[in-house]
Amino acid sequence: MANGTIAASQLEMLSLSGTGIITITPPATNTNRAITLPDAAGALVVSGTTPSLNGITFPATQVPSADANTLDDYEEGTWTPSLGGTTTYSTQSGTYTKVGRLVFIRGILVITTIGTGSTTQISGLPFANASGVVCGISVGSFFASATAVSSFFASVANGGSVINVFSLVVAGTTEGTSAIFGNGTQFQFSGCYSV
Amino acid sequence: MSLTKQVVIDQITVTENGIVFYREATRIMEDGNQISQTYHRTSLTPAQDLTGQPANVVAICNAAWTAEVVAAYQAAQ
Repeated sequence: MANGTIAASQLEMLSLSGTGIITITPPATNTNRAITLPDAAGALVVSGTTPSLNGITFPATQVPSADANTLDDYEEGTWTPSLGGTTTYSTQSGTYTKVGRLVFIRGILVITTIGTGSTTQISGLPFANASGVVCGISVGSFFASATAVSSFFASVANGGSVINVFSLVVAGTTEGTSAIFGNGTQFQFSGCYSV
Repeated sequence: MSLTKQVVIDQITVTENGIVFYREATRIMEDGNQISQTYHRTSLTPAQDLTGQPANVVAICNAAWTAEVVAAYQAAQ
């Protein structure tokens, strides 16, 4: 079949109803699936004896849409959270999932030796945070903080690609920047931000 | 049947504030046909140490990270 045309032998696979419903039926050698788009209720229907939809594939490179109702991207992969410098790790891993402009990240750092790495900042995020807002990141677990703090929180910098970790040693009205990462620190985190 | 693995940098992006993002695609090929693909993303902030980074990414960083870009990025942190 050439682009834009359907061979006569394949016409029996495609039907168009008077109400604009298109049904695609596979050849007789593979009759267990059919796709109807849209059905009478406006839904995409995959039917047959073993109905399944293996997935929706987006382009490897996003084609951005300004329309508020259009899902224009999906991607999942890995990234490497880093403190920079000469820090060494026994575990250093992260994953991401991007759906439209929403990015969900997860990461884990188990530091062997902090060396000259940052004690408060994780770099290497897979996408830049949108300008205009700092987005919070949840800390799921930590162990062996470099400073005895009473609380801390993490956030993705405005327009940036790093996570800053702030803390409070005592009750206060502004965020502090005590060292969090040191030799032996374990830090697991996750959260969302918008591109 | 032969399986091969390809690792290529298929995207490099420089943002307005000088952050360089790149994506490595790892492709498993069977007899020349791609059967799977995974991604790994990395970001590099202006003036960051580039040791161990791919040569083409280093070249782009060095071109993008002018003294003005580095100063503006650091001032914004």
